[in-house]
Amino acid sequence: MPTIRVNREDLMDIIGRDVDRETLESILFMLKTELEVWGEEIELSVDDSERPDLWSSEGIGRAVRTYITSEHPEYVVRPSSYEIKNERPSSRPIIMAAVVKNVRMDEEVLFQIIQLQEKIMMSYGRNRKRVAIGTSNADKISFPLTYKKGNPNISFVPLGEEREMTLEEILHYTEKGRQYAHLVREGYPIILDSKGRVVTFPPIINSNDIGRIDEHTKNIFIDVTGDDPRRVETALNVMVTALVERGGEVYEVKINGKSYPDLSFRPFEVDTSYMKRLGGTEDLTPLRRMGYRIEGNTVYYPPYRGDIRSQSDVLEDLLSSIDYNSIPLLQPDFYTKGSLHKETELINAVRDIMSSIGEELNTLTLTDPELYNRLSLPLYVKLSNPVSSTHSHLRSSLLPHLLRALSHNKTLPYPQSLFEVGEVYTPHREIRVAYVYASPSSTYTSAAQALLFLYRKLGREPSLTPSSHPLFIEGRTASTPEGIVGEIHPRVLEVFDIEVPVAAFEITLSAFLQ
Amino acid sequence: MPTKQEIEVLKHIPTHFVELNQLSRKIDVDPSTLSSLVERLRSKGFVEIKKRSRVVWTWTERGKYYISHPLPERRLMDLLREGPLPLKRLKELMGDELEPALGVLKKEGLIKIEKGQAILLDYREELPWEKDLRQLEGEYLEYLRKRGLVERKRESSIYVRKIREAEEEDTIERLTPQILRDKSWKGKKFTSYNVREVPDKFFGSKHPYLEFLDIIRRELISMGFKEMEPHTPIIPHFWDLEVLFVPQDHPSADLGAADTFMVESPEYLPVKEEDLYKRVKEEHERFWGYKWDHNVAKRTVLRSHATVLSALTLRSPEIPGKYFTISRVYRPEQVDAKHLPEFNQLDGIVLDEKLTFSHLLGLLKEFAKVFTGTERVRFKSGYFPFTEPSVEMFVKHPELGWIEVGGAGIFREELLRPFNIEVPVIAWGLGLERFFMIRYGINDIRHLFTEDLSVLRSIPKVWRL
Repeated sequence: MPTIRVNREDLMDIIGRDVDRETLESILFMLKTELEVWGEEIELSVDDSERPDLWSSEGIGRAVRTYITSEHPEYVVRPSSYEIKNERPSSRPIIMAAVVKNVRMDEEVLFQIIQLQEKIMMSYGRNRKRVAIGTSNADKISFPLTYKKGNPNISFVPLGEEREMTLEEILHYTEKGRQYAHLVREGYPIILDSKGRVVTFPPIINSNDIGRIDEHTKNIFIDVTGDDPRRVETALNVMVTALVERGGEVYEVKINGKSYPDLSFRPFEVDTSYMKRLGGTEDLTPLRRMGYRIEGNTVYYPPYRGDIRSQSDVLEDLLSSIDYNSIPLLQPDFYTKGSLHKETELINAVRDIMSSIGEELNTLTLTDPELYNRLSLPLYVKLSNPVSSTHSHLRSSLLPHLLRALSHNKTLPYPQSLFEVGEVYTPHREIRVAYVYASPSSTYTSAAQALLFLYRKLGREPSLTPSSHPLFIEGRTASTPEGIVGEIHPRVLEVFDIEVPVAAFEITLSAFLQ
Repeated sequence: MPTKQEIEVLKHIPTHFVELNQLSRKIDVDPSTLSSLVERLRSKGFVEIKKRSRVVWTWTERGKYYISHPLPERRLMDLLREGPLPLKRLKELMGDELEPALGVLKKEGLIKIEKGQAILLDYREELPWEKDLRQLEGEYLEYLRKRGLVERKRESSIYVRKIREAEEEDTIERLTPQILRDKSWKGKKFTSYNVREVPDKFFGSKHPYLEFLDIIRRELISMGFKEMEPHTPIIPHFWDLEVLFVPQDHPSADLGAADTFMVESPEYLPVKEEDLYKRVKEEHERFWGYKWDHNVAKRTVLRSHATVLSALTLRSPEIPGKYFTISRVYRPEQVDAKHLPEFNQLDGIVLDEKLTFSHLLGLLKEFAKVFTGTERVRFKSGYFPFTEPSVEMFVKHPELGWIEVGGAGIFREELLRPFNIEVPVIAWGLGLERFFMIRYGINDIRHLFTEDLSVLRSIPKVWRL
């Protein structure tokens, strides 16, 4: 979910009129965007990770303007003699490129270009794996260019550095090199110009001499490399059409004979019965607010929209262009019988019974192995990437948590009578109920009576068999087929610093489901 | 009538308030016996009790250790007193204590690091918090608490004073079965109790947050929703994300991105639905254009959202049908007032031939009405990889303004196709904790899962939304 910064005045310039905050917010709502900060500088968070066209002032401005006016710019690609020979280096075999001239460049535009480029590479480009973008000063490059696997010993001055470094050195000694080295294990892709100079080493870094732009650069060469033609093309068109909003004129670049960028609007055959069925309308004209052109049932969407793949994608744009907030609301009009799952019904019955004798707790299922260690109880499910050791395992029993609760509540008066119904993992999911009774007068009988009460209310007669368990006093412990009941051993109470006798039970409820 | 023992104690209780533990030492009666005697005297109206809670500081386990051992920064100062030492050597000497010691001393400006050497700039005989740690008092206690050396607890003290002398006349203090049997009560008076003063006692009760969830379930059932089959949260990654059409290389699906808890063992879980697995894989590779990784799909994880249950329900749903689930979900979050590594999500689906987007919005608005009592809702176009169109709903809160309460959409056909489902499916999810907290003015999510009874007891029963 990219967050972008735009300058308000600049944005209003692109929109072409002053839009007040409320109007802007409601239009942005239909462009999956929330206004986070409003002022001279505006902060926007754009929800859609497949809509890089919205990640800059130019893109947001264009979308808002189009939403208001239903007018979308035409794109012209001028012929040129710019050429690239693509030798398809195996680590990122695809390259597409364009030259944009006469861009009205200033500091804000430069900021927006870099912000857009970075966000695309990070999110849409999967941290440069699928897409990397280079921007260079077109006037300093001599065409034609070659995109190929480079010799590791070839050297150039990388952007922001002062000395020449070989490709190998760049991977070792520069920050970007170390960060992205894993993406070029199959060979180092480079773009060379006709004088044999390195323009860029994608996806790592551009050349400091010819591969850089600043607030004075008017003519920009954009290269996009990667492994997914759809993403590479979308990224290129997003970059190029953003610069068109800054007065840029687009010039083609021929790559192995094919011309880029292709800024034609893409046709999509709309299934109007689908729109009618799910969206309640067959009228496609509102789509113009989203930049579409309409010809009967064929719509043409702008070249920077790589996300229009299915009828549902057009449906969403259609509904957004109508505005979700003006669509009539309906209720499903078929009959279904609502019901609880039988497990929830049982849990509720047990909670009803237990809440007549104790206070209910609801503790976390993620637990601390230290707690179980001290009680010599096993845990079965361990996380590989816990955030802290206190929440690094799934609990296998409820009693440790109830005992810990007693120890937290030592300053409160006794008796304290607590229970919890919840999931434990052994490692299979089980629903259990546990109960503790802490009082100066608490004995085995206190918990056993509660257990009998619960069983009988559930329509069962438990058979208590003398038993043993690490938590309980030998000779004051009994088991039923479903669990254990007894008087907690003072050794255990000592662990929790509890200075009052405690009786307890824990049983699994699965058997009662049958 | 007070018993002999009670009368004896009453003699020692002054008419001004005295703290119970002090009294216990003075008259040499152990505190718990004294406390119950005083309680009985109170119920009989001879004494008045007041409770005051105060903050007391105690050492944590680590704090206890450092009472008898020098603090890391003390050790480091002592080591450097004779002259600078290389960090590597210090690491050998101090191990894990080095980092915190360096941090503290740097912050105090007592050392500097140069060329891998630590140099002591100034030696202090005593750092101010060292004394505070020993004595458990002073202005640095909060600082020590942040370092995990001391903790703050509330302790309540009881004060007692005499309000009435023991009477000697022949009255009945407490009715007993004996008195009732032999009818000796006839013609006698009863002592008066202090009926204004009643000590707290807590009886059985349900957990307020779980009661809230019960009501949510009740409302959904009244709207015709059926609760989904429960399921273990321990699942292959396939069921957490891939089955919902989230590509394996999606920023939020990336296992390395730490948005999902992974389970250590078993490292991988099979997907029993082999045909479904195959078809989901094909849809992914066709649509998203990447190479499917079985090791990602089968990696054992804890479910990170409740839509997993909706997806599981798609295996054999009734059509038309309405389903919901309230499930615990797990996310690697640091614990604070707003975040927990596990929380509950409400998720549901509606399946029917005739469903439209208008039904989805109508349903969401109905939820807003039922769950938040407001009709003021606003819809925003949203993005979820598994739904298209997608929507987020905001409701107007009188103080907090527009707040987001949930998301929804129509499941993508690419997601439904592997399940052989051909009717539209509306999917929706609503956050529960936040909603409960706003509704009941609770500002710390940890209170919903607390083991502290005083917190739970402070929330009244929840019986309607």
